[in-house]
Amino acid sequence: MTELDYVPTICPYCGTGCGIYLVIKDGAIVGVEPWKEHPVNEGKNCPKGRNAYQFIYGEGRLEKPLIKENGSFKEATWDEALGLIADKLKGADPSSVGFINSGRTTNEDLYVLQKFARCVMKTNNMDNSSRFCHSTTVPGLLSTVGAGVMETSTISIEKADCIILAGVNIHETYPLIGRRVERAKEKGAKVIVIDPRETITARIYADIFLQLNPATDIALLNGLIKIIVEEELEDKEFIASKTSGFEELKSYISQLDMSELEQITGIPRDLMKEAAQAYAKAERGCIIFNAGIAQHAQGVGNIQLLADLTLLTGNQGRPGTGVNPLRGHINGEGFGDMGTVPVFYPGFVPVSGVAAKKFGDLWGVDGLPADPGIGYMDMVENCSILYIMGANPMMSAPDITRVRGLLENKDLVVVQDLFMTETAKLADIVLPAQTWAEEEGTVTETDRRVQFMNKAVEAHGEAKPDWMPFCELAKIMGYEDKFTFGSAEEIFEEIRKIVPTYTGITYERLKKAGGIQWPCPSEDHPGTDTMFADGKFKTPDGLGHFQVVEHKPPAEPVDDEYPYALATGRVLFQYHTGVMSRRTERLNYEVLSAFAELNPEDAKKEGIVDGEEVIVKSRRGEIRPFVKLTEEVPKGMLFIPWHFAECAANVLTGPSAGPPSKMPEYKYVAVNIEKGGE
Amino acid sequence: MVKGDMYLAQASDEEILKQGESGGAVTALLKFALDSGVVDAVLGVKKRDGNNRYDAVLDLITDPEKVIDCAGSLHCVSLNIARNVKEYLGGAKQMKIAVLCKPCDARAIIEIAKRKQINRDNLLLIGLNCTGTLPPVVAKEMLISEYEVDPNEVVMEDIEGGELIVTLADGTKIAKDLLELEKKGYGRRDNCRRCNVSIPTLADIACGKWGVKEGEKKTFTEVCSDKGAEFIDNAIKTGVIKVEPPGEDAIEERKRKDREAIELSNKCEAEDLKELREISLDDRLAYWLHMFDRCIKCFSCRDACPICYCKKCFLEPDRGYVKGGEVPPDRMFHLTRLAHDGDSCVNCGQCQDACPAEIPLTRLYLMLNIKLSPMFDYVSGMDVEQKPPLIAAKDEEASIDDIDIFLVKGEAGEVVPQQ
Amino acid sequence: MGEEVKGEFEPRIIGFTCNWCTYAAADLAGTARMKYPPNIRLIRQMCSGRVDPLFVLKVFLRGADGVFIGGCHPGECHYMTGNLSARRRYSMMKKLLESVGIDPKRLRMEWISASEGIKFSDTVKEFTAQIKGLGPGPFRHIETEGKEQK
Repeated sequence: MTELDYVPTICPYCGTGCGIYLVIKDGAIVGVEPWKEHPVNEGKNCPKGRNAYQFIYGEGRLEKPLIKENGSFKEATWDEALGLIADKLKGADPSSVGFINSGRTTNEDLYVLQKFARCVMKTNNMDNSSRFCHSTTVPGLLSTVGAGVMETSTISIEKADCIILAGVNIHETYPLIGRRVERAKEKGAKVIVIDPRETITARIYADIFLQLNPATDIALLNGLIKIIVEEELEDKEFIASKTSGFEELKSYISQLDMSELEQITGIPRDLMKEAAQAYAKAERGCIIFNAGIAQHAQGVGNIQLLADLTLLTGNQGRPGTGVNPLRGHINGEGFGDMGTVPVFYPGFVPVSGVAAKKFGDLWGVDGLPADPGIGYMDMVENCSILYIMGANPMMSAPDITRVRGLLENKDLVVVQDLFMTETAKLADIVLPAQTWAEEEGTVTETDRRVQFMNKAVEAHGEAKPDWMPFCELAKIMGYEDKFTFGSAEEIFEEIRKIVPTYTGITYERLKKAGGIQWPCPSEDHPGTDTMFADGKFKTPDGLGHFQVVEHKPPAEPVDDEYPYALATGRVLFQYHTGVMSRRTERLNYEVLSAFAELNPEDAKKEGIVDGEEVIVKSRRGEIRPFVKLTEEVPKGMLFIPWHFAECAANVLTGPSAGPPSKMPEYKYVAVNIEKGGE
Repeated sequence: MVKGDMYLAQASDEEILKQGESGGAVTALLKFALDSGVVDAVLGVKKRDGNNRYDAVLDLITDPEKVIDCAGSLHCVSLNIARNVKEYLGGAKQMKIAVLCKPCDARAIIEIAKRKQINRDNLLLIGLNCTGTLPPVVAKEMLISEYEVDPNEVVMEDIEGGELIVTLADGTKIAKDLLELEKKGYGRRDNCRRCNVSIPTLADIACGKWGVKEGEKKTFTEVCSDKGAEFIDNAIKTGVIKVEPPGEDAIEERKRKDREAIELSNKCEAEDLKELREISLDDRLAYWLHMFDRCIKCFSCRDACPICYCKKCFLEPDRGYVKGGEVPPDRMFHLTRLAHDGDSCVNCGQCQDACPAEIPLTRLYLMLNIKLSPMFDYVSGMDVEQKPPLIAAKDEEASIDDIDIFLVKGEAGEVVPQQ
Repeated sequence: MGEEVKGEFEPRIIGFTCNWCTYAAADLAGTARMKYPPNIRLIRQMCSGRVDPLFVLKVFLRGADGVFIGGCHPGECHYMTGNLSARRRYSMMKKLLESVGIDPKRLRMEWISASEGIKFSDTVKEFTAQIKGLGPGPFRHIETEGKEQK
């Protein structure tokens, strides 16, 4: 007789964290059914979530460890592979080792990785691909409100009466959060969309569409602030009691010339006025932003100004307000909480001698690293040993031609993943990992929502949960008693003790649909919907700090040789580096290959016909996508989705911001385009 | 027993009688179905997590002793039973299953059976009366803000006489006006408002509380098919249930409650479709195009729909109607589904439940279905022998020249209910 | 096909006509020089029963102002019952168009046998005038010429 089971879990794709039921028939996943009790999505899913499990059975699933000999991979045992890795790691200089981890792995996986890196390898060199999307968010928000997290819950967005969608094509990239915007609209909310492209988000949500010139967000946001201040629409009481630095901002703003701002942004002042007034007069104004704001050389400045807008108008501390980044990965928030970054220990404790001692005492290990480590691209450049868990720099990093050269010349590259990705192909040792449905663990979604992912099926081949190889390496390297974890729950129990915002969360409590949003300091605490509800920011003095930001051009402006501004980004039907989504039939039926969006007038000028192959070139390389003519992109701009390995947009990208973010400017790359015909 | 027979039943077994909220007749029958080998499995519903009344999953039971664990009526759960039987249980083609179902589930099963995706003969459909289900997340919000109770304290819900009555663990009952709640966005799922099939006489057996006196632990049971009659006879013979005739007032009371429910559904239908019916064609088209523009091509509506069954779907990019990768998809997506499924829509509401773009699909489909029903003398989901209208051309139509014969019939028969 | 002449609206009508009767009737009307408006473009089907409701919808979405279906009289279908299904589908289509918000008067079906050339030209004249009166169809602004369907 058939065994039919329904296992509730979370969709493994984006940071929304939608609930789904997996249907298990005789030990295999055969379908996805709605989880109507889940508060985030109430039984509704996007095309990726509806087909979430298919890639688990994709062709080429890694089953055994692989060791490269003479240029080709040979199957090996776990003992052989881990033994080799341990040999290389023992005695390696801590600064020469780098751990590239992933927002696609669980909190338990990440916690064990950072503990291994710090206790065993004595290094803080760890980072992940959020360097490429929200490394500007953290400094931007830390300097203004003191915490780089989403302030309101995604559910409370529908309480807002004015929503600014800045640099986020939310209808395609987070449709179930877009649903909240739609519901707010139905209750009468005004929606302002800021984007150089006229995306579907602009078309169906925007009451006011600010189609600014690419990379001119600072000028626009300064314009909005200027209007609010000049028309005295600011929340004087809030500014006086809860902020600092307003006078400096006011003085800077008054010097700005409105005509110049209009000229830079391409937005007429009347339209700016409409938007500024709508936001300033709103009862609950909500700013939501994503890569279009963050992935710029001036990303930190962009975000500081968005935060300034909230402080200016008192839109803080209440459900449906605030400045809200959307995390792309399912565990995009959790990785930060777990401290798998070069500058923070778990719980956002800044790396320092004091922190090293504190965690040394907690973990019972001496000599923990007290100096900050280096970030993603610095590790790729400088570390001779790279351990890459669930990341694919050969698709997600900027200037991947250069990355290939670097990866090919390391002492050791270990890749722990599900499939033979573009990065795994360059590795020396490849380890098979379990998917989200084969291991249990927790993930933390964009609105600080910690949720439990159930194990639904047995592991594929000899794949292990991502945390296990680190425990085994620790054992080989003499730290067994510090890594005695036998299950994900044991790891989580330690996490609870170490990370104060997680202390009140237990696996038992996580059985509830919708999980628990941190901070959750005790077991009877229900979790926290909205940050700063008590009126205090997470800055040292508890005040919100206004920041003054000056408009600067992008890192690589267009010129005669490369006259088009390229923005790379996502589409609804595929996801990130394509490792999961390109192994899903339904999604491939919709979008199978890369394309470049070009404005029809530009096409005419270049003699390019709709649908033909074109060559898109930058200073770093060229790719040959098909061209799609559309009015969505303005003249002088191109858009290419970055999901397709055979036509990887990141061949073209390169220039990055300086420290602290080192954010690659994915949303503005100088390119040229020509017909690809023979 | 024959089709149409009615009686009051309760379980003979002490244990089942005690546990069952209405005397355990249904539980006893399901257990008997397994014990006697009439079916290979019982498809019941079990709460996902301990006592959570707001989430449940289907439970394929093969051990008769486990039948007693089947959840009672959960008003905040609306599983897509028909789809799960079709998709994950091989359409019941290789196994006999007893299925506990609401009227809409049974109607959906019948429509799927007409399209040969489910073997109706292998199913023993035990239908339960239904006056509506609630969406779980919204229901919990409603309990907190309107009823001011902790959702975990609720042990039973009833939708009766225009009220939503909630019973707490300590026995307290709180009643509120249903339509008032629904004006605020609470209450039943949208499609349930307009549903007029509360007693599932299209199943093999229909069971419910109507016609049972308050406090009596009995189930009013109606035999609805020959298969049902034979099954009940054997159940009585084997002694698993005790039956008695219901009495004229009980039968009348049940009829009265049914009429009341139908009147309420007519009222809601008139109210819900009023604006759509009254606006101009241009405005109506603009409204639906605006809705379709929000679609993100998740295909949840198609997957959930009991009528949609094509192995190679017309909405796929290589069929020439809906290009791949476009957001929103070509309008042909929604118009095709409407053209294919409109005549047979059973108002189960699973499509609208699953739509992330909040497109009020059930209102569009009902509006069309109400017009088509009198045209073709077709009521979807009631009789597995009744062919869907577009393939049901009768030979005698060959001697009728009038092109508008169905349209004229439809216009005459179309009833737009008054408020 | 219909062009805008000095601001006057020229309807674009698509006619799905059965090979065995209505299409033949159109031929007859042509050879007998019976004048009928050039606004209709005929698409020959082997039977009116081949006309899928999706054709009708697609054609409206691509900018047609009116759609006509011509078939054999009941009892005379070359395939016995094709036209009976066509009548049922047509009836359903009328109600579908109405439910969605497209004027059902823009869809018309007639039985026209091969010898009924006059009936064909009269019907087309009448229908064209009716559509002219109704004005442009709801998707008339869509450019249909030259766009490739991938």
